Amino acid sequence: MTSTDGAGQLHAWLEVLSFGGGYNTNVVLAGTILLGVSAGAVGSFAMLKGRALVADAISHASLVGVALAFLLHAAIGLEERSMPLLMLGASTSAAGAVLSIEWIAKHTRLSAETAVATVSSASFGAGIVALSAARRAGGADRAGLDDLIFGSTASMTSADALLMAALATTALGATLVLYRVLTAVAFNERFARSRGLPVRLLDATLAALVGAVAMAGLQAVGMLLVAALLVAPAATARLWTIRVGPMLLVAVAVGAGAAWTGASLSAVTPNAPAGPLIILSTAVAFAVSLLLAPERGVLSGWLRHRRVSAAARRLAANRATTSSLQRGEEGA
Amino acid sequence: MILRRGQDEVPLALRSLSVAYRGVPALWDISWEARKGAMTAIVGPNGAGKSSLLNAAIGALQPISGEALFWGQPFQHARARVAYVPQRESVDWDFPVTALEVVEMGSARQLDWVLPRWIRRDGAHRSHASEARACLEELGLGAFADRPIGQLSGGQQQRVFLARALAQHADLLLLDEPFAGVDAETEDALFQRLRRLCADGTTVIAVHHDLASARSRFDDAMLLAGAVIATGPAREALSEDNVRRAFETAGHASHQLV
Repeated sequence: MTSTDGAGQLHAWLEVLSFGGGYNTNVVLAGTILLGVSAGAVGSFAMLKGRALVADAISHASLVGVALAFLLHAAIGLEERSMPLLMLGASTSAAGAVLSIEWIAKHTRLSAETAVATVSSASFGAGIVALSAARRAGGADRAGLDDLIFGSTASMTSADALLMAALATTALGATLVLYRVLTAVAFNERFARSRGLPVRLLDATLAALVGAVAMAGLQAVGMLLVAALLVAPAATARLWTIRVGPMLLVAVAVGAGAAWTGASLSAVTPNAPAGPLIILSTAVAFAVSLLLAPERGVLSGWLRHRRVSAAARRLAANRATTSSLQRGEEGA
Repeated sequence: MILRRGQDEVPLALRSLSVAYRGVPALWDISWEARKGAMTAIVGPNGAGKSSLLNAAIGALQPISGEALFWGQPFQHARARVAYVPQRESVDWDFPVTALEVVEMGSARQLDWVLPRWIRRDGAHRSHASEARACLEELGLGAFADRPIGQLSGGQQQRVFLARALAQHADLLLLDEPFAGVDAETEDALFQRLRRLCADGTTVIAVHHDLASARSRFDDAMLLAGAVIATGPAREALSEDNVRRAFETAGHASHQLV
């Protein structure tokens, strides 16, 4: 590749970045940015609640629902794949997964983390079995299924973008309005309950929002990667901030920025799918933050440690000199 | 008791309260009435059900029988008058909130709680913030108001929780190990503050682990070991004999479980 090619590609990328890449590209870009916005907002509270990986279980479980919906397609002889039916299947099985997790966490001594891991992997197993059944049944259109597993921004229509806009607005609006109560429940659930907050209702709302983002994310990044979209912006934001409000804003910015970067890079690079590029962008943002964030970053921690150790060594050296001087005087 | 007090005068009455975890009894047939304006220590060996008692009272644990009544009413109808302080270890102190924000969770009323600040324009949140700040200052934490809670020491965190309870202006305080990790000087100041509240008619019930200070600083005590071993004035309820009995009972109970 010559340098002019590189410059040309950079130019093309900047053009797409600034929404100059044509109608279809802009629809994809807008849709994924809105997805990033809602994932940042909802993922923050999922993480604070210690339920970041529930998104993983939800996306794995939705695989089961999607595959069963495909089987239903075949059974009732539908030719076209019906998005509402797929979504219904996905959200039903996702809700089942969330309920199982909460039930296990509440009624056994196992930790919530264990409950999430168990349900998540069980769902994935069930999903793959159901998926092979759906493929054997034949009626299922294979490309449609793969789109949902690995994501496919290329096939995103303006109707999909509108759906994402609606989901993003709902998720952002709900978290902005509920952020005080969601914070209170996440910080100290028992106290919140004692004050009469509807803790169960709020938990259910948050789970529904996570589910909504996961469903919206199926199209763009695919069910394998959608959990990362919920976790990484929130984790990145946590490194930079010490309060929930700013954390929410940073997570939204990281989610949107990563979606913007990833989707536009994918548009100018042949054979580079948007989903993985978006997730890679969040990973880069996280890695940079991990290194450079003030207070909670690795670098600032290392510098602090060095400063303190140097001070302690100086102190010890001074003390040694003083005491040897004193011994000298005593001897004289 | 000859005079039967009006139930609406009793801040907390437990009536044959029993609690079990997965079929294993933690509290057995507890009946007790708190005295208005008194400080009561709930004392007992590990696993005696002290925290369970508070949690069952506020409905966080479902009792298998019996009930807890606040001024003659179930907790749902009395929660505005009750402040509950959980054990310090029960929350994640690396959570991204400041000390002031934690205390504000206590001072806000129902609606202010739910609505975020940017929706309300009547300045209610400003009065809550200044009230919360005052509560922090009262406990010597004024300088720490805007610090993230993770930067505070264990004793300071405990005081933030107490400040939150003060901000609730409750008539009954239910405190779960409020002095754990608190240094002697601070413990002194906190006891004086609680005393002043009691003088104004507030009732304080605290799970407490130190026998000596439970005897000297509290008015009443309930000695627990799954069941009630003794209740009454702290010095009498926590006599050497009673305490020995409590530990023996707890020992037997744990043998039975094994």
